[in-house]
Amino acid sequence: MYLFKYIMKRIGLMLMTFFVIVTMCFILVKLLPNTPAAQFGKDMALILKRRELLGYDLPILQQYGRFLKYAFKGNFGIGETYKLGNEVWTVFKNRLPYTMCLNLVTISFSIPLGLLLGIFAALKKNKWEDHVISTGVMIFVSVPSFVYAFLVQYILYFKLGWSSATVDVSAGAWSWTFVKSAIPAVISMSFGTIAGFARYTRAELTEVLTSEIMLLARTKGLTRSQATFRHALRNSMVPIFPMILGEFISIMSGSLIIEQIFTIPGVGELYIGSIQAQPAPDYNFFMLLTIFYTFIGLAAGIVIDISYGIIDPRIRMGAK
Amino acid sequence: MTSKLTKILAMALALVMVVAVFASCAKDPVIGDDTTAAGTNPDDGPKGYVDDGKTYSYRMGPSDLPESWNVQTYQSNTSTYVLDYSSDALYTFEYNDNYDGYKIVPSMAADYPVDVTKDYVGKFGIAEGEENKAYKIALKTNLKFDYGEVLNAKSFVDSMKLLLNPEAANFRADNVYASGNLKIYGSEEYVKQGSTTMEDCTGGAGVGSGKYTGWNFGDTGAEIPADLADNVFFDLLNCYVNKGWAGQSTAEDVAALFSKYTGIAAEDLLAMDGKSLSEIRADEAMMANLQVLLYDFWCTDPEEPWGFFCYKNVWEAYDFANVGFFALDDNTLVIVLKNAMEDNFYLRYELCTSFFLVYAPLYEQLITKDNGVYANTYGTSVDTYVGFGPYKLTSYTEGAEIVLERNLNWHGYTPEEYVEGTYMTDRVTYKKVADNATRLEMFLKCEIDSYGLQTEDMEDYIGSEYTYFDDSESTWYLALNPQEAKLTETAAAATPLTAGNTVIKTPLCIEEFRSALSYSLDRQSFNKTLSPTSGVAKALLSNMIIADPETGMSYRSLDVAKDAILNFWGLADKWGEGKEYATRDDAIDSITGYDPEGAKVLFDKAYDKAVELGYITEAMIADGKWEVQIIIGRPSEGNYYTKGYEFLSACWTEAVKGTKFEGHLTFVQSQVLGSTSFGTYLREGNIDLLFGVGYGGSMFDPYSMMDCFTGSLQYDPFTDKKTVMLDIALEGKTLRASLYDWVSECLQGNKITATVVGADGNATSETVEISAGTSDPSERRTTILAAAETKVMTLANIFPIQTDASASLRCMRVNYKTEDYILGMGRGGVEWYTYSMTDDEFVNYAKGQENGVLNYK
Repeated sequence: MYLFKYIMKRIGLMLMTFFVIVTMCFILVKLLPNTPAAQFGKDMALILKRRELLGYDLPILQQYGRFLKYAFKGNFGIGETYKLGNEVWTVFKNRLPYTMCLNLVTISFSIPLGLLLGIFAALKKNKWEDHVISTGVMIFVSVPSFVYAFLVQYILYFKLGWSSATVDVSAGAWSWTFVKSAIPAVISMSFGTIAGFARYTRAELTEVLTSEIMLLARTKGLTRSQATFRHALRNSMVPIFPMILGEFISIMSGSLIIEQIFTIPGVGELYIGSIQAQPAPDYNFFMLLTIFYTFIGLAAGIVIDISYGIIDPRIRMGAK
Repeated sequence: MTSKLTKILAMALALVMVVAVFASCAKDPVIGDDTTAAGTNPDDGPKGYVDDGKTYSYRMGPSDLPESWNVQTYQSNTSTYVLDYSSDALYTFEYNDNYDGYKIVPSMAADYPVDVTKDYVGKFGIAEGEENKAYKIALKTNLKFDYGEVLNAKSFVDSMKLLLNPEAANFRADNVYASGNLKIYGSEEYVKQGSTTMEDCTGGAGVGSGKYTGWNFGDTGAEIPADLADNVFFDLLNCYVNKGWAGQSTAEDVAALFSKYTGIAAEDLLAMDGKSLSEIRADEAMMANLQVLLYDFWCTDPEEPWGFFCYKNVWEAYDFANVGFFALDDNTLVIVLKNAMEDNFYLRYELCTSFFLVYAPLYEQLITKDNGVYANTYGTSVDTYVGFGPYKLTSYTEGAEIVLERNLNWHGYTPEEYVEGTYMTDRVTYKKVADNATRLEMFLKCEIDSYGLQTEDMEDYIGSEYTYFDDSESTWYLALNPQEAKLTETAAAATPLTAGNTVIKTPLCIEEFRSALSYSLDRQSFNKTLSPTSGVAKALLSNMIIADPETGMSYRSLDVAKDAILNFWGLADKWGEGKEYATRDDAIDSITGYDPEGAKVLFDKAYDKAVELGYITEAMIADGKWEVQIIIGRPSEGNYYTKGYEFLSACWTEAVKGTKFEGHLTFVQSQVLGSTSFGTYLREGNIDLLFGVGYGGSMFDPYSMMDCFTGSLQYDPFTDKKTVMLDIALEGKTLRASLYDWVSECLQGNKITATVVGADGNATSETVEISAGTSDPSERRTTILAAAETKVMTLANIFPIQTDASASLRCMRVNYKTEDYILGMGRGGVEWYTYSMTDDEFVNYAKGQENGVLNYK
């Protein structure tokens, strides 16, 4: 009951926060300069007429009202300065699967690999295996992923000829053709995830392995592996599991650089593209993306918080 | 044994015969409608395009792909990736018979336009005796959209109606009444119906044309003409723009600017903004301020006050039947022009268009009016687009790739029209490749067929036999802000790079200082660092500009154009027999634009002037704590502007060594200004200098482009070109008029009144009315153009620095029609490309190379 109330309260707060963020974003983006520049041979009256038709000269709150009216119906309009003439939702909907597929493939092998490396390093703490893994982790955490991307592309494509330079989208996102051609991108993206998980798992597991409960477990007669897998690993997963959950939630956000390098038509470039559009930001694209990512971010916060209670029953959400 | 062999041979022979019979019965793989009707015997005559069963693709890897290619609304050049191949035009450029020039030939049109003006006297504003205002264009009878639907004159008219739809305010609608020379009668009235616009009072659409000349705003006793009282408004921003000035974008900014000049409080000026003439006259205080603004300070010409007012133009309902664009019958289109145009190059050049043709039934289906806003998704996917060109869009993945394949319904593949040896390319593909290094790798591995060389590639490929250099019609400039008031204002707000320094910018007002910056720039090194394919620009107009499009004559090959360069660089009297240079060309070749020693002298002169004018004060000299801080604009991200900034700041810091400015010149790079708004920052005086900027797209019409240096788009709006006088020797007389009149009026075809200058160099009382439009003698036009070019450069606010040139690698399997770049035709394009290997053969060929990589070095 406590948990139910807690969840309801959090959802209520989330909706309020969501509304405030969306409203603020709408107002702020509308406050950005949007003066049409004179162009050679262009009739400014025509440009001004189009802006009038778009409602740009209405008070911002009135524009917001118009926006909300249609947004509630799921109609986010059509691109005016970014991806001109394209339905905003259609573009987003068409691009999302590529990003999701890429991220899903990446995390489905990089998380287990990261965990395994972390566990292995923790078990071999201060031995040469641990030093090798830790050094590798430091390198992969500190060097940006696009550097590996170029290296991977150069070696796998140009030097060895094992892969294509860019992905093959001819069969769509959820196809083996795409996944196969996206292997260099997946490898490039996974370095950071593997390193992150390895480092975190090693740190958490090391702490648990040196704690008194492990001594107790061993004195109870458990073998080292039994103690490690039944007790140490489970305890160390309390902070790691929300990280894993976070990774799954973030599969819907694209990587601008990686997607560009491998020509993946994902959502990575949409947000920045809509803001950098000339001569003014594309309000429709910007607002759809703001709504989407704000909602995902806020919902993820609730899910992760609740997940703590499921992993570790000692944690009681909303309990007095 | 022999019998067995005979049987085998007999059977083989029989088999061959059977195969031969079947082969002869099979449908001839002739592509295109009506090709089978060409004759039962394929050898009887032309066969049209014949599919040889082999596939040749031209594959490109641009950094960006189009998201839409609606011909009526597109705003990005990438849209042409689809439009160029999937659409057609009434007339088109083609090689001349010798393949060394161009000609304009009918494409969708069946013949050249015919003047039918006399048939429409009394209609469309055509008066008795007028010519060249209405043209009839016969269309080919076999035109089709790419999926087979008939395309006729009605298709053009329906599309025009959609283009001019007042509800849509389509971005390209003004192409038929504002851009270019061809203006369709009634098109502006149709698209603007139901709206109200504020227009220039001095223009024809308002109250201008001298109708109210002499009416005095200050004469409060005089009655206001009835049609003026409530339709004419004082409008700060519009009057500022309408007068040809630029730089301010809000009424508040204009008020602040005017306030500085007139002493009238900005809020008082703003109080008048938007008020009608009768309202202003009813208020004594406003009237007094207006008197000061108009008569005491600004206007000398009796008509000039009109420039400060705007005419409220209410556009009445307008019937499309009154638009000069209609079908006479299924295959005849009539175009009525607002302004007469002779049937010469310029008319035919303007008719190299499809008039924004779309497939109307689909277009109308895709219209939405959500949020009360008209929108259209035409041209955003394969399903939302219908073409009518040599290729058909068959696949599109937004942000990834585009495939266009041969459109067998195109009239150009029919036996009557197909030219043997053309259109060997079966498919045109685009794959987005964001990174240059990846693109080069793909090119070397035979995955794309073209590659534009970058600065970092030049060392490897500059000497390659596959490297081709292309000049463009653009020239890149160094543009400076010379406006004292704005420089003073921005200097006051600037942060010194050395703590305690006083920041000044006003030395930029001094011509010698600006010239010194130009002469101290080593253009050759600049190019080597930033764009190795570019040459040193010596004039505003490039070598690719055509002076006379009828003959294809290059402007820069004319003596007057060469003299323009020599006059500006001070070499006019240095060439000829017994002189430093034997010919004009030798003298021009010697120009590098780089004179560091001369620049030092100019810097010192500029310093002395700055002291004299009080820009550099005694106190500043005494403590030595001052810096001339120059903000260099950065239009966009990228190496060009970053490296350019580093080069310029290092170059000029070095240049002032040994001069009185040594140690006092500092530079700041601006934030990214935006690719469409960077010019506005300079015009508003918010940055001090731009480099690598220019104007393009006027290869055949430099006369219109010259207006960019005197009209509303100029980088230097602060120098009033109406007061800069220019003497030009024309047809036996020396004529004097303002630079604005010569360029923005005379060269655009309007008559100006020029004063005849006497032998003593003084103006006489004699005046001459003269124009230099498309119908005037070509020599007159080029002479004025050349004189104006020199004059703009001598104002020392804009300097040519770099020609716009590029280099690319030709794919080993692709052959161009002409090795030389032919103006108007390039090297033939996809139409004329031929291939030595099919797609599969090329892939196999690459596999045989080491690592699958070809060597282009």
